[in-house]
Amino acid sequence: MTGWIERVLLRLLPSAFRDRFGNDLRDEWQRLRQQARIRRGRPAEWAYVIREYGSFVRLVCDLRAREVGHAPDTSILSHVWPDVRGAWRQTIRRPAVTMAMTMTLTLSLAAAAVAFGVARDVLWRKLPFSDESRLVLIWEHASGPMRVTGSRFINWRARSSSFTSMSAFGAAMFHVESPDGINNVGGVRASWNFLDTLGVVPMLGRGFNAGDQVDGAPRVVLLSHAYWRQRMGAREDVIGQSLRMGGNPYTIIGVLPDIWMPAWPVNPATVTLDPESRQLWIPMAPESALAQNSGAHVMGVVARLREGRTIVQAEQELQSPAANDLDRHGAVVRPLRAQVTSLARGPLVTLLGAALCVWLVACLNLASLQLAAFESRRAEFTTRVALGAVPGRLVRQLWIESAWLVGMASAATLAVTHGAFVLLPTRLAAHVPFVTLPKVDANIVLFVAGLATVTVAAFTLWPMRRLRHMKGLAQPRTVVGSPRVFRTLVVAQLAGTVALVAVSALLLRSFWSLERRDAGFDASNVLALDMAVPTARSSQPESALAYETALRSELASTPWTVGAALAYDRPLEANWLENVTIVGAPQSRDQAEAAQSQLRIVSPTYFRTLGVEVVKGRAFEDHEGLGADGVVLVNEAFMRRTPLSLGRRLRVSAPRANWGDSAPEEFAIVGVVEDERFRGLEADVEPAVYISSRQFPLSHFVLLVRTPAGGRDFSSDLPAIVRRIDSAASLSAVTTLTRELADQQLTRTLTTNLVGGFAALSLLLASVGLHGLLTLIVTGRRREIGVRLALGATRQSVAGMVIRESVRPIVIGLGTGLLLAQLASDSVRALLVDVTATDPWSLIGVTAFMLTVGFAAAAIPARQATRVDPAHTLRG
Amino acid sequence: MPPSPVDQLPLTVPVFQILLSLVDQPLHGYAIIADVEGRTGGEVRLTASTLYGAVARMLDGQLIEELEPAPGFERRRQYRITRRGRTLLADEARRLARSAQWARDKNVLRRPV
Repeated sequence: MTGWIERVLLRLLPSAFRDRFGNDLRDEWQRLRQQARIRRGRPAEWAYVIREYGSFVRLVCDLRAREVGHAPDTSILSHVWPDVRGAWRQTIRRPAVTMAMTMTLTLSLAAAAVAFGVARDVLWRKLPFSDESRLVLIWEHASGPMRVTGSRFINWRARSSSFTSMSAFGAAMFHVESPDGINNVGGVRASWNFLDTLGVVPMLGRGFNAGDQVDGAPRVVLLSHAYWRQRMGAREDVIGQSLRMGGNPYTIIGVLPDIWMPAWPVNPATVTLDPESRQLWIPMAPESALAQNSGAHVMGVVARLREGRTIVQAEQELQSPAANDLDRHGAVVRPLRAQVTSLARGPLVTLLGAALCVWLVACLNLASLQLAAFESRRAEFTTRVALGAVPGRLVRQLWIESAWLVGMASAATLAVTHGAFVLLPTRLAAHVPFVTLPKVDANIVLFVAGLATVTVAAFTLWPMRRLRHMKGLAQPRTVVGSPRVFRTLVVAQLAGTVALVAVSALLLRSFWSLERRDAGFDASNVLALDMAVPTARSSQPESALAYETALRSELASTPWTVGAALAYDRPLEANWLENVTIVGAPQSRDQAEAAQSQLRIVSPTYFRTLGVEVVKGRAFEDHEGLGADGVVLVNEAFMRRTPLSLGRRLRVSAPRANWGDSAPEEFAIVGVVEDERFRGLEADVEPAVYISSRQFPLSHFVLLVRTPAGGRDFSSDLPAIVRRIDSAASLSAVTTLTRELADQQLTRTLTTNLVGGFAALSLLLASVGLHGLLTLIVTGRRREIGVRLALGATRQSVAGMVIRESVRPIVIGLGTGLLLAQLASDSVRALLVDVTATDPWSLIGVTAFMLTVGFAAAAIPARQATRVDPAHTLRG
Repeated sequence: MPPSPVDQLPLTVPVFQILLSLVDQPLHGYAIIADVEGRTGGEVRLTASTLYGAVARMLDGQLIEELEPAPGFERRRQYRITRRGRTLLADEARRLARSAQWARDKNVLRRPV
């Protein structure tokens, strides 16, 4: 048992016993547990914990029983057992009601437990690195944060004194040879001291050392835990074996532990969470080569702050550019944890708050049901008190009956929560930064136990108070005070519901706003496949061009393809930020910073295949290849930032840096295309320059194929077509752009749907509660209604009287709920798109909706009131 | 005022075993647990909660007394059986022996226990 759990348990003991034996108990618990683990292993340790827990419960019961005067050594169970049997009889006497209550409580507790578990394992779980608070990510800063060049990394490391260790890492795609063919496997190139910087030790074998990152060093590779488990059969003899990648043998030197690590740096300045991106790890290029790279912003940097240095101090130290910096970029330093969890914080905190709100509403709703049940048994309790029953005995009975119900719901909650934890990470791992995968453990059990305890207390609070004031048969027949309590419970339920509905409305409006946004391309019926030209062909640009031509011809002759295109980046990716200068314009630092643009390398058929509109000028033509005058298209965002006329020339150095003098360096603008949202519907559009793949041949690219609408799934046919051209091509799995767009929105979609679901459940409960309150009032005032009707009041006026009774709780609940929603708006603000947290139309809509629901809930009791028979009620 | 001896019989199994452990020498909590488990061959295994629940009752009943801890060992309190405790232990042992004899007379036990 962890220390704080022991302290909590000891609080259950009477203070005198705890003061006398508390320390001894803790000492023996730890010693006995350790002994069990040493002698017989973990199972014996857990068996001991269970035994100890059972005898501890018995000890508490015995001691507490003696406190209230039971004979010592009398088993408390003999007193409790009749109440337990009574609770069971209540259960089987009204199974439908018990089932409904248990399911309602289970749903709300499970929602809260799952939200808590996910939030804990994303936001609050300690990262698996030593002293994680000192780990930071460092980015270059131009007009915004961006990835780092090799020369800048070398420069920072050489002149900074703020860090004890600094390492670079970058994305890599490996063509791994296997008996099935060549497969694209995502991986990482990392500095030799990357693992040392993080404080991670390989599970098997060794990590990199300085000798692995020098010219001519033997090729070595580290396996991720997932790759070792799935592809290498989790064999411990993999160390020293060879893995062929890109035609070269790599020696496996180690296996990494099953933890998350920063892997692919993604522009503008973040790291991907996709586990598929970090399967194989190799050393980065030698530092002499890194120092030569001053143009390609492709790396991420992770560093460990020196003791006594702050992030602000480190950033200031790196901000001052070195004398030999061509582009004078600054630096941005961010804590590693914040970098990873910042996007997840808003949705998770929102979900946790919403789930707790639902639980609270369910708790209050069921508490009012329990109160109603108690009132219906008032005669029973009154009689027992009159015959000498101690009120404490009756209180214990109520506690046990409530604990029985809540206990059943809690057990079901843990089972449901376990199922949810098994299912969630499968879908979410690439989008949610799980430090560890959530599971039902001691913390979750304690969380559920805590909520269950509060629930039991809520069920029994008012009945306990009523019992304390019972004086036997002198108890007045009418129910005094209960409607006030009911009103309070209903108002609280309405307030929680209104807050949830308001937040849900804002999220829904944001979601619809995003759905209406134009991605800039048509994602429907488009297959996407990452592939690489075989090495033999990729070394010469003409060979790569010929491969592209052959591929497009093969696809054009396929009957089920409507169009095909190649691109360096997928439509929903943006990995190449390039300096683009205007030929003939004066060079200045500001111009250089302003000319940062996304470089999009696409085949001439890209715009037609993806449905990207050319708003001005023309698209690329096939004959514009190597040796011809360079041509580019730019997007509307580029034109808004830098208005230029068609024909103006831009300088882009990347093609020549890759392919030499056969590739152009200056390009004329021949057209303008509509903006594509490279980073998804939520991100802003970015300036972009498009270069034709005929003038910047691609050795690895994404193949995009549009298929007919409503046709069958052709995704399994595509790899076969590609391999017909070259069986050695390395391919990834086929996806669809629609799926990628949906995956990008997955977190938002889930958050919106879940909060909406919580709001609907809460609305149902609150409506039932309001209905119950008015029914109680009608029942209590039946005689008065009968008298009114007998004296000539119309049935409409009686219905109006009931409706008016509902106004006050609805209005108070509405006002309080809207206030709560405003208080919660801070956590939701990051999730809102095109709508503010105080959007008046949303608030008006919520108000009108809740008033409608409230009055609808009042309709049935109002109708019941109009059907009161005056003669029947007056007869008594 | 402690309860009279006759009210404290029969002794529960934990109380009986703890008193047996303390017959020869004073012991602290963990030592009592280890002695009982060893002496009974694992048949009686006391948890810490059971032990200290029984110790509290035995202290109240004056069956055992707490010794002053040695300097530097304040967290290892030892307990010693009292004369009253020895008397009750002997009474309980005789009661159990009589029960065993009655069982042997009826051939329930074929060999001496």
